[in-house]
Amino acid sequence: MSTATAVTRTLPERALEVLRRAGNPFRNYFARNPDDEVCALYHVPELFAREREQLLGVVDLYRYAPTTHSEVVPVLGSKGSGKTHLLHSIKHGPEGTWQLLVTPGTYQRDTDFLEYMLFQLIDTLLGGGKQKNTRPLEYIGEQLVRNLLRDALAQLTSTERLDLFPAPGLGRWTRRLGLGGSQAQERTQWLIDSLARPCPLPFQAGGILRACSEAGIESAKALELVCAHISRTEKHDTAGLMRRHILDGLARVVLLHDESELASFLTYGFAELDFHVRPTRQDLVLALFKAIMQVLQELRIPVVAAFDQLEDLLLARRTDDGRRTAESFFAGIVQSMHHLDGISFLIFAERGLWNRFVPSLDGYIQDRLNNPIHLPNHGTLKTLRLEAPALDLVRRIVEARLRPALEKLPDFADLSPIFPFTEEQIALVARTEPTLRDMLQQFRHQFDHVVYSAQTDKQAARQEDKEIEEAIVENRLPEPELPSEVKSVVVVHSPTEETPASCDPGLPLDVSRETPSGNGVNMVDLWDQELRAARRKLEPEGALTGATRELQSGLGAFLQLCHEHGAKVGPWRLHHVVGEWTFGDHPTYGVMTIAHWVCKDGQPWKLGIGLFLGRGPAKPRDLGTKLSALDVEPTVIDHLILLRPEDDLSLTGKSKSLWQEAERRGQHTRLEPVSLDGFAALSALPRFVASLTESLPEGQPLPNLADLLQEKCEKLLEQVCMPVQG
Amino acid sequence: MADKSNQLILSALSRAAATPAGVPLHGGKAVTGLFPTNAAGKQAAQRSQEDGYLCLVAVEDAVSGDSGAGGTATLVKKKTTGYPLCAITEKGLTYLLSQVSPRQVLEDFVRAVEAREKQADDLLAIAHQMQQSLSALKANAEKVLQHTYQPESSPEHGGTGSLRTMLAGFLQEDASPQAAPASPAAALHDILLAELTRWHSAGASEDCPLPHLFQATRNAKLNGTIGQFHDALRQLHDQGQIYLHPWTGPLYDIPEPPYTLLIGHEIAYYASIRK
Repeated sequence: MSTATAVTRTLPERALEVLRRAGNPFRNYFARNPDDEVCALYHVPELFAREREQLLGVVDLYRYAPTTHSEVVPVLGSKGSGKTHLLHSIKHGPEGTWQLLVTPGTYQRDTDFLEYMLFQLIDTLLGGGKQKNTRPLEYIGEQLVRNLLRDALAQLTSTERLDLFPAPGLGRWTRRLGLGGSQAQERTQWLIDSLARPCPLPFQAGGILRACSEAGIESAKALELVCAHISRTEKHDTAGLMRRHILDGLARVVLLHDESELASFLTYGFAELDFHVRPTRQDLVLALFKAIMQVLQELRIPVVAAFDQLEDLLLARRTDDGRRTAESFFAGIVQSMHHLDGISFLIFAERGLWNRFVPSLDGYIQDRLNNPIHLPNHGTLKTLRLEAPALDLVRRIVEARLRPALEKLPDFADLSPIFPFTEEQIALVARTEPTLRDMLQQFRHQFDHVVYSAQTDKQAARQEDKEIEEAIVENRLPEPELPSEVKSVVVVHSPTEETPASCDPGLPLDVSRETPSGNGVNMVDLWDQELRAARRKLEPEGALTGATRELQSGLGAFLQLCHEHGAKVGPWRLHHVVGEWTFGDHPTYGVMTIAHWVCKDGQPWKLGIGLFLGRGPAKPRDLGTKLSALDVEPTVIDHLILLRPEDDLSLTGKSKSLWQEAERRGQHTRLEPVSLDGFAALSALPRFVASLTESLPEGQPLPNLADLLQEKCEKLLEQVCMPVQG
Repeated sequence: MADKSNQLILSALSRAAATPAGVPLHGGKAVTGLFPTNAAGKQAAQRSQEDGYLCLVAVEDAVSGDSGAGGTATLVKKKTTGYPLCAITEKGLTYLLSQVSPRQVLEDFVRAVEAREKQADDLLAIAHQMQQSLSALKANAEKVLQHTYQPESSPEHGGTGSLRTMLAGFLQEDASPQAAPASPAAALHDILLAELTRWHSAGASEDCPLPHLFQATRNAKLNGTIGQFHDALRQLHDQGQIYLHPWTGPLYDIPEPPYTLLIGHEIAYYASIRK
C-alpha cells in the first residue's frame, strides 16, 4: 500500500508558474524595423486605429487617382510612441489592400535624391522582402501579366487561337479539314474569363501559370503572346522602350520565373538604350523612375515611400552636421514631389528631431511639408501625431502580451486577463509614463518583480526546508513507532520546480553580449537576426543586382563605422572614409566608397571599393565604369578593389581585356570574391545600427562595435583593406 | 344724547355686519374704526360691548409713528398699539335689523362688496403687470445666457427647463477656475492655452517652443517669472490640458536653456495643446 500526497494548487499559482515558464512577455518592447515580426505578435488593432485609417486613406487617394500630386504626411511621435509598429501594421497588416511600400533603411546624403529613391524602389521591387505576405515583384507581375495575357488572347483570331494548342497525330489532319477547333476556342475563352476575374484574396503567386496549365497553354507560348502584344501596343520613343523592357521583364518573371532580365534592365539596360542624344545621369534616372511609376499607376498600385526612424536615417553618421543632412533630405523630398506625381511620402519622425530641424528649413520646403491633404470622412490632414495611449488601450496592450501564455491554462477564462497585474497598477503606469515604450518597460520590471520574486521567495523557502531536512537526517533518535494498522510507508518525493535558465533573472548575464543599458538587448543576437533578414531579401535571383546601390551604401556605412569605432586590420587603420562617391554618367555603376588606410609611419593608401555585380552584357559596362575611377584627375584613388559574387569570379571576353589593359597601365586593382553572407552583412549593417540605437535610452551613444565588427566581418574587413603581410 | 349714541351704535353695527372679519373698535390715523375716538364714541363703544352687540375677535397690531424709517443709524421711538377687532354678534344683528330697514343693511353690504371688488381688480392688474415684467426679464436672461454659455449638448430651447439648464450650466462654468480668471495664475493659464491653441490652428507641424510661449505671456502684459511660467505649465500638464515634449538633441544645443523644465525624466522644451 502506498500513500501519495495530492498537491492541489490554486489558479493564480498555476498561472504564475505558466508565466514563469513562458518568460517575460514585455521583454520585446520596441519594434526594430517595419518588418519586425514582434509587431504582429503583439498587435492591438484598436491602438492608433484612427491614425492607421487616415494613413490608409491617404494611400487610397493615390489608388483611385494615381496621378495625384505627390504629398508628404509627417507622422510625429516621441521615441517609443509606436511609429514603427504603426508602419508595420500598414505594410503587413490585414487592413487595406496592397500597395508598394518602400521603407529605406539608409539615407545617402551625397547621392542625388531621385537616384537614391529610384534605387530604393528597385531594391524593394526585386528584393525578397514581403509585404502583406507577398513579394512585390510577384504581386505586381501577376497583376500586370493577367491584364496583358487577357488582352493578347482576346485579340487573337480563331486560327491563332487554334495554334495555341498543337494537336497531336491525327488531330493535325482533322484540323486541316476544319474539325476539332471548337475545343480550342472554348479553352481560350475560359482562360480569358479566368484572367478577367479579379485575383482571389489572399493573394497567391502563380495564379496565371496555374490557369495556363489548366487551359493547356505552355508558359513559353504565353510569354511569346504577351511579348508580341507588348511590342504591338507600346510606343517606340524612349519612354515606350523603357516601358516595353519593364513589361517584358515582368512577364518573364511571372511566366518563366526568370528575374535576371528585369534586374539587368533596371540596373544596366535602361542606360544602354539607343538614344539619339545621350541623356545626362539625372535624365536617365528620371526617365526610368517615370516609366516604373507609369506601369504601377496603370495597375492602380500606389507607391508609398515611408521613411521610418528618421533620426537614425539622418543622424546615422554622428560626426556629420545633422542640420545639413536634414536640409538635403527634405529638399530632396520636395524635389521628388516636383518631378514625380503619384507618390505619397510618409515621414515617421521623432517629434524632437522634427521640432529642431523643420523650423529652420527654407520656407518653400516648409510649405510643401505643411501642405494639407483632404481625406474623405476625415477632413483636412496635415500632420499625424501619436500621443500616449489612454488607459483602456494600455489595458488591451497588456492583455495582448499576457494572453499567449495565460491561454495555456485550461481554466484561463476564470482568470483576470491582466493577471498578474491589478487594475490599479495598470492605471498608475498609464498615468505616469509618457510613452508606450516607457509603459512597456515599467510592465517588464513589474512582471519580473511579481512573477520572479515570488519564485525567489519559494526558492528561499525550499532552501530553508532543505536545511530542516538535513537536520532531521542527522537526528539519530529512533523513529516513532507506526500505528499497528500501517504496514509499510513509501515516501514520495515530488520534483522541485525549476525555472528555465533563460528566464531566471538571478543568473549572471553575459555582459559582453548585452548593450550597456542592460536592457536585455543582445547585440550578437540582434546582428544575427538582421543578417538573416537581409539574407532572405537577397536570396531571390535578381535581388542582389537590384540591391546594388543599397549594398554600396551599406559598404559606406560599414567603413564609416569601422573608422569611428577604431576597427583595425593587422597594422592598418582607417584614416578617412567617404561613404559614397559618385562619378561618371552611369547611375548604377558610377559609385564607390573611398577608404584611406594608413599604416604606422606610412602614407595613407586611398582605396576605392566598389561592388562589381553586373552580369552578362552588364559585366564589362560595370567593370569599365569602375576602372574609369582610376583615371579621374586629380587622382582620387590609388587602388581599386572590386567586390564580386563568388559564383561568377572569372573574367572573360571584353571584361578580361579591360582588366588586362588596366594592369598594363600599372593601375592597382584587385578582385575580391564575396559570398551571399558577406553581401547580407553589408545590407544588414545600417538596420542593425538603427535597431541598436533604438534600443538605447535617449541620448546614450552607441557602444563600441569594433570587437563585434572584427568578429563578425573579419573576412570582409580584410577584403576591403590593404594586404596584410604574413 | 341717547339718540346720538344710538345713532353711533347702529352705524357701527351696520359696518360691522358688512365686515365679518372684524373692524377695530376705534380707528387711528391710518385705520378707520367702528366708533369715533371722542368721548361719545367711546361711550357708545362701551355700551355696545356691554349690551353684547359686538364681541372681540382679535387684536390687530399697528405701528404708530414713522414705521418705515427704522435703521441702525437713527434711533426712532416706536409706539406699538393693539387695535381690538370687533365683529357683530347675533344679538347685535337682531338689534340692528329691528332698528333699521334691512334695505339699508343690504346697501352697506353692497358697498363693502364693491370696495372688495375694486381691490381685487387692482390686485389682478398688479399681478398681470408683474407677469409681463417677468416674461420680459426671462427673455432677456435667455438672450444673455445664450451669449455667455454654450451648452455642449443641444438642450431644448424655449421651456423653463432649458433656462434652468442654461443657468445651471452657466453657474457651473462660472464656478470653474478658467471661466473667470480670479487670479494671476488663472490668467496665465488662459494665456498659455490661448497661445497654444493659436499655434496649433496656425497649422505649424512642429510644437511650440517654451521661449516663444513665455514671450507670449510677456506680450499679454503678464510680467510673471520663469518659475511661475513653469508652475503654470506643470499645472496644465497635470490637468491634462497640454502636452510637454522633450528636447532630444544634445543638451549643449538647447537654444535657450532657462526655459526648459524637467518633467518626469525628460527635459521639456516644447508644448502643444491637448485636444
